[in-house]
Amino acid sequence: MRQLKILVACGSGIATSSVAVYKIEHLCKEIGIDAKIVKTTIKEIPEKSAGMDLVLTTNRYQGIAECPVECVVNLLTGINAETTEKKVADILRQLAEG
Amino acid sequence: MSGRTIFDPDLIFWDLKGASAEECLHFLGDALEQAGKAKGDYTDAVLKREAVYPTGLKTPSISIAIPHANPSNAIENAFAVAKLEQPVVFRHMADEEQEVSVELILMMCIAEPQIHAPLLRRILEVFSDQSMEQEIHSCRRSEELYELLQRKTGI
Repeated sequence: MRQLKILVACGSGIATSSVAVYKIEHLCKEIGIDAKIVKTTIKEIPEKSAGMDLVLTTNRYQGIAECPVECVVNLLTGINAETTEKKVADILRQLAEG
Repeated sequence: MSGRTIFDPDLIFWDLKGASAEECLHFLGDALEQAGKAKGDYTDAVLKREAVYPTGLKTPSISIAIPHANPSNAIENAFAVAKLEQPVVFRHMADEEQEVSVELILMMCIAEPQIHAPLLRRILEVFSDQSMEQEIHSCRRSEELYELLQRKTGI
């Protein structure tokens, strides 16, 4: 399994993305994924997503990205958090094995 | 946070009457500026940010909004909190086309970037507990909301 590069983005790149990073770090640890996680702003996704395996956002993002994008706001609020966690875990496993 | 809570009884407003999200944001932002917690450009920065990156959130308890600006707009760490008399419509953080009827606004004025995330995480943990709905609705005055937020979040 290879190390994954994950970009986590929110509006300002300060608050909600940091919370998402915390959740994703824990998730990776739990499912045994080695990941390098980088935080950024939504605005910088087009440029910063180059060379990344996955972009996770706290806002819905419909712009350009160099890799798959998934919204993880549910991990913050706790609504359908388990479903989102499972979905992200599946994506991460697939990427790590692929 | 060394024993002192980030919440301030003077910055907690019970049954705030606001006709719109914008009106409520103005009210809370001005309160933070007048209390010396935020710089004069804070309210404008919050409004601009909210327009591009909305902060309405549905949680398992009640719907909240967590408007904020950048640490450069803040002077001291503080929260301005309003329980609204009638919910106002915010747009959802994850989907700006989705409307959220917000009952409680927690405006974050954070001067130290490194504490922004832990504080937010704690707030979201507390509101992801369904019992918080009952707890909020059993409050009658701003003092009770202050005590509840302090007790539940420990921040």
